[in-house]
Amino acid sequence: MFGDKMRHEAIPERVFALCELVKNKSVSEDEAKEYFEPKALGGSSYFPMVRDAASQNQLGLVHVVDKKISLAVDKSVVASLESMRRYIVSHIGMIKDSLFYETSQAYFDLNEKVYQYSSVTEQALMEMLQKSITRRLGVDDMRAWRFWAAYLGFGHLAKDANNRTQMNFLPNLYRYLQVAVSQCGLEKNKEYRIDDFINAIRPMCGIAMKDAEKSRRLNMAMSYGLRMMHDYKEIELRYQLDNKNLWYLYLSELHAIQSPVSHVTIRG
Amino acid sequence: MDSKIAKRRIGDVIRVDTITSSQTDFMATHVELKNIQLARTYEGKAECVLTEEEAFHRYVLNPDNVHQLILVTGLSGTGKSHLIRWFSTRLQREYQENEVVLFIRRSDNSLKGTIKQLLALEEVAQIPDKEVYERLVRATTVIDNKKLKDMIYQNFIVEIMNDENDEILTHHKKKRLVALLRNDSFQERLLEDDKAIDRIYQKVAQSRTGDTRDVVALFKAEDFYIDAEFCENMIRDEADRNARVMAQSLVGDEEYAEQIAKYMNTLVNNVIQTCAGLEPGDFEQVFLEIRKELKRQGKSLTLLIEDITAFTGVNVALLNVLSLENTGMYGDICRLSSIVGTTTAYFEDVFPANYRERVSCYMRISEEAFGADKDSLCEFVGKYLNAMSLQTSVLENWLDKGGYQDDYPVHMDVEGQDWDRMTLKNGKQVNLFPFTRTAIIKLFSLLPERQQTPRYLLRDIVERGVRNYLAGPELFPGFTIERSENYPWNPVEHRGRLLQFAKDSEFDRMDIFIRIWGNGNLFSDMDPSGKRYLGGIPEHAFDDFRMTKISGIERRDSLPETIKSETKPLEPKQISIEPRPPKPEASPAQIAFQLGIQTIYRWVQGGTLNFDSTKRDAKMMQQSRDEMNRYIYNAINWQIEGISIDNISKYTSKEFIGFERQNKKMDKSLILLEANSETQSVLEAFLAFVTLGEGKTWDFEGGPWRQYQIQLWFEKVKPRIIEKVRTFNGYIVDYQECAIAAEMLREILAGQYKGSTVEGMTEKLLWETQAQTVLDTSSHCKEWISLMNSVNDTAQTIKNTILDYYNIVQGTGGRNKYIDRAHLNGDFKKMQKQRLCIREEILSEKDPFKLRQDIRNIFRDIQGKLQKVSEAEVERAKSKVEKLAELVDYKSWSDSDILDLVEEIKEFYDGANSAKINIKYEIGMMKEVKKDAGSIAHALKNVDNGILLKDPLDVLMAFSQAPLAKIDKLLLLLEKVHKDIKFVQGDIEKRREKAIQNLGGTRDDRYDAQKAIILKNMETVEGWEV
Repeated sequence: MFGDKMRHEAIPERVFALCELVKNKSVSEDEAKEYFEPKALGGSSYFPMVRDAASQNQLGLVHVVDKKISLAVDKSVVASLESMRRYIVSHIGMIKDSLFYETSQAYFDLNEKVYQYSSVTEQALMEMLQKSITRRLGVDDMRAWRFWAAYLGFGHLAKDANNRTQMNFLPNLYRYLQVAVSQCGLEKNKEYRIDDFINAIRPMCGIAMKDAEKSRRLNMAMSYGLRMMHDYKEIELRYQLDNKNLWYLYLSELHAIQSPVSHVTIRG
Repeated sequence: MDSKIAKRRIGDVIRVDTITSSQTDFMATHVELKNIQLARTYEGKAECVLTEEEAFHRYVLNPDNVHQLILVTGLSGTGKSHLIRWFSTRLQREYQENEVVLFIRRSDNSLKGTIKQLLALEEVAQIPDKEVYERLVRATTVIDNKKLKDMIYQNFIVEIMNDENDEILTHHKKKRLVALLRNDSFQERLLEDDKAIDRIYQKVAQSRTGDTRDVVALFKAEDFYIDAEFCENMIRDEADRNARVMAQSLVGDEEYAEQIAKYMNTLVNNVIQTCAGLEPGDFEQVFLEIRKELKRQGKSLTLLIEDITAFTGVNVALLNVLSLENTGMYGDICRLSSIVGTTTAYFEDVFPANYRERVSCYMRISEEAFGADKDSLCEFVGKYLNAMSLQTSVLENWLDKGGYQDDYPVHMDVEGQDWDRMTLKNGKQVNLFPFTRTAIIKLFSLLPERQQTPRYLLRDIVERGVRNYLAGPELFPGFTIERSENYPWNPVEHRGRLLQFAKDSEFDRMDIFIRIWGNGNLFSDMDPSGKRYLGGIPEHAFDDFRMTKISGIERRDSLPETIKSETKPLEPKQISIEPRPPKPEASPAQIAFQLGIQTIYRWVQGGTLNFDSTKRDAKMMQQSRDEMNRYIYNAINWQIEGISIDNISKYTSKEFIGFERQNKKMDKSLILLEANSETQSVLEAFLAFVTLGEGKTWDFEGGPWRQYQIQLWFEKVKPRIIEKVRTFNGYIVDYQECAIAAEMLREILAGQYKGSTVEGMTEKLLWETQAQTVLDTSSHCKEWISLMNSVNDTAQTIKNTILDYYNIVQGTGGRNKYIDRAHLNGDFKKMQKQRLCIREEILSEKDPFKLRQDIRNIFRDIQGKLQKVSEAEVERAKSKVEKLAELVDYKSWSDSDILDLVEEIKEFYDGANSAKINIKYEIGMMKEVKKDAGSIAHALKNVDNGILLKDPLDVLMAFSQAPLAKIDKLLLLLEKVHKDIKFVQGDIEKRREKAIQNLGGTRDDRYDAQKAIILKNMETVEGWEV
């Protein structure tokens, strides 16, 4: 899932279920497979893809050694799907060299162009994304991407009335940024310069800031995520008129923070 | 504007009936008509387009001094009267010797009024034929209007009765028509307001309003439409037979009604003349006399008739006179140049075809002509606004001095200083306050197509607008503006900002003001002089109408180093200093969106939110609501939120949200959205998706912002929805637990679970056992078998429910199962702990999701039967044990006891066989009991224990493996042995009797011998109890 290909079988809930199984003791692969996919129920197996996604080579949540699976992180990490999400967000760098990471960056940088497509698997969209991706991107990859994108807090899945099978994805990094901001190490109720704020969240938000690094302009997903935090009073964005140290949100004329931001305060 | 003066003057200045306004106001408000099409025939192409000045000089002044009949045609309200009055005014100023100008005003729009005007002319008073003159005078005598109406009606009857022309209607039909007209009910109908008689009456008597004047005084087919109910009433009232026949034949026959109307119309002129006291030919004669008199005086006549319908009743006679040239035998009459106004409707419907060729030319005023020239439109409004702010004396003074345009007076601005102005030809400027050029053009375009005429512009826009302003600037603009959605917000999201910052009480007027007076946005602009504009409207204008100050939105290109939209080009920056035309027409989607947001707004203000697929706005609301529900369903990551896909899929309606004051039942909705600004903006966002995005995309102008508003709202509402799916009536959803318990009970009832305790059960049986199990009817009581049969019916549903509920699905799911064992095991253990029981007080609560409740019902049904089933099974066991005790001396046997018993039975049969008694044992039966001795003993033990149990589940477990079936095997054997023993005993008795007879020995010897045998046999069966 987090290598050169994305596997739609390896959805977050299954990865979490595996972590739950090995939380207290290591389990053989065969046992684990039978546990989730009893032979009596037939069918092919999704388990290997789930195991790989959770393994030390990808998310690093479990160790797979000699066909034995054991938990690789503290038990608290897999206490819930939410705690696992928080862990993955804070360790997103682990999957930096993956098709998932590249695809996410490319998708966010499309800004509102994503609305032009009816599905994440639409050929024209994939061609557009492919331009910014070094690995080969296929329909199955995008199917897999949406599950993790929704889970990690990149935005919402959507489907229009006539589109029964395909899913669209409406980006907004609000829920992702909530984790990033809470884990960035900055103090609450203290106003920071925007540079300091960006530097603090950058390790976690690099996945959504590819084009922003040089331009100091945040894409639509990041911008609306920050605005939402601002609107929910989780952070406070401010633009000081004469300040030269600025980052620019994706323009929204109707929002109190239309674009430039000079300071950020994390509220608690 | 000077509102002090305007309050007094508005009624005088704005008179939609041109002719009734004063000469000063008429001249002060006159705007040059530039698009008069001149054609030789009515349908023909225009030869040229003239201004009113050109038309006046070339035709009205009649430079060639020829006989001519000019018709001025146009739709009602296009300005025909205005033009003719202007011609008249101009003629008076261009005084020509020997030319008599006769201007026949429409006056009060009745024949009576018209005749009065004629009588006022000096030339009429001098005509020699005094008899005719007298009749004209009598015609103006006031007749009681009530009487007049009846008189008209009765005169029609008289005319029909005396009509000998059967061309349209046969004699018989006319007779029946008369009968019908004499019917009281029918008469009442025809005399109603706006019906035929009333319309004709208006032409003979005096009009009530100015607006009906263009209505043609004729019968219409509809006047004779009769329905079945009317006929039934006639029968009930025993109406005249002929009247009933006529009425009956008119039911549903529109063609016949048309024929009757056509016939009646041939009588109209005669009836009107009769009612006016005129005789046929009077008018013609008067005009001929006038023309003769003028010729005698060496004069010519220019006749201006504002509206030919004023001559209803005598119009044919009038046309005869007008078309009569002063040549040949009529050389004794003067040259006549007549300019006659007529509506296109009158011309097409009534104007006699044979008179059309006598028309010299047509001056057409098309409705487009008025609106097409935007400057004239604004000048028109500006002049009216100016006139009403000037004292009459000022205008009179101006007119007295010649009324030249260069001297045209312009009022001093009291209100609306620094406001949009219209520059006139003479360089003077008239203030457009409280309108703007943009507003005038937009408001005019919103008038219905056939009403885009000066009359409606004045009545529906200028008068309403000014009166609205005069009622208080803080109420302006609050007058009715229909179809304002045709000028929607652009960009649409700016409306949200207005909603946010404007007071509720003033949102409506600001919304209209910005869309109609301005550009429909809140962009802030500045002209080179530093004057600021909001949405194209000078900021001070908002102060003029006491509106809240709204801070404008900077345009994208005015923000420093801002990212620009990549998908939507910005419209060119526009500063509304100079008047500019409105933007191109809005798209149907934009209009639909504007209509929708107005609907939503009305709801928020206290109205009802209607969902109805047959009405345009209600359908949009329905679609928006559906999209909201769809969005929620797809955006919530149900599994991540701990909601099984099976759970949410059981909520088939997916009606997550309902609305306060909606017209549909709300019992199915999970949460109710209040009619507040937040819901408003979210509903609008979905409306935008449905209309602007055609229900497919957010890729439209403002789409990202709408999408953001939805996401902002969604994160807030999400926990409430999740909670509603996770719980019901304060209980955590439990249908999956019901399914687990039902499945576990099924496994017990079917004997698939071999253990004896609930704790020993495992979830694996779920996939390791088959759903359908057919039990041997002898193995359990009939209640057990019956329950098992009904469980079988739902077993697969239950199994599927469990497997689907605990399946970790990707997307829409696949065939493979990936079981969420942690949760399954957790719930399984919970059910074990509860001993497969859910309290009745919980089960009696109804789960609102029907499919979940169905599962709960299945379990509830099973649970409700367990007590009876267990009791019946115990009873059955008890009877078996009693039976056993009857046959043998039974007391907790072990398997060896059973084996010994089998051996003894064998010996019995062997002994019997050796005694040649004809019985034989069933070897299979014996073998089976012998083989199952262990299980039979176990069964006996279980049954012994089971009989003592009280808890139904314990009983079920005890009898789950069908122990009574095992015991039955033993019972079967023992019953056969019992039967055979009886046979043996009988046989022995018979043999004894026979031996006594055959052996012939003493009775005592035979007795001793037989006794010895019996004793021996008794030894064999010793210990047997039968």
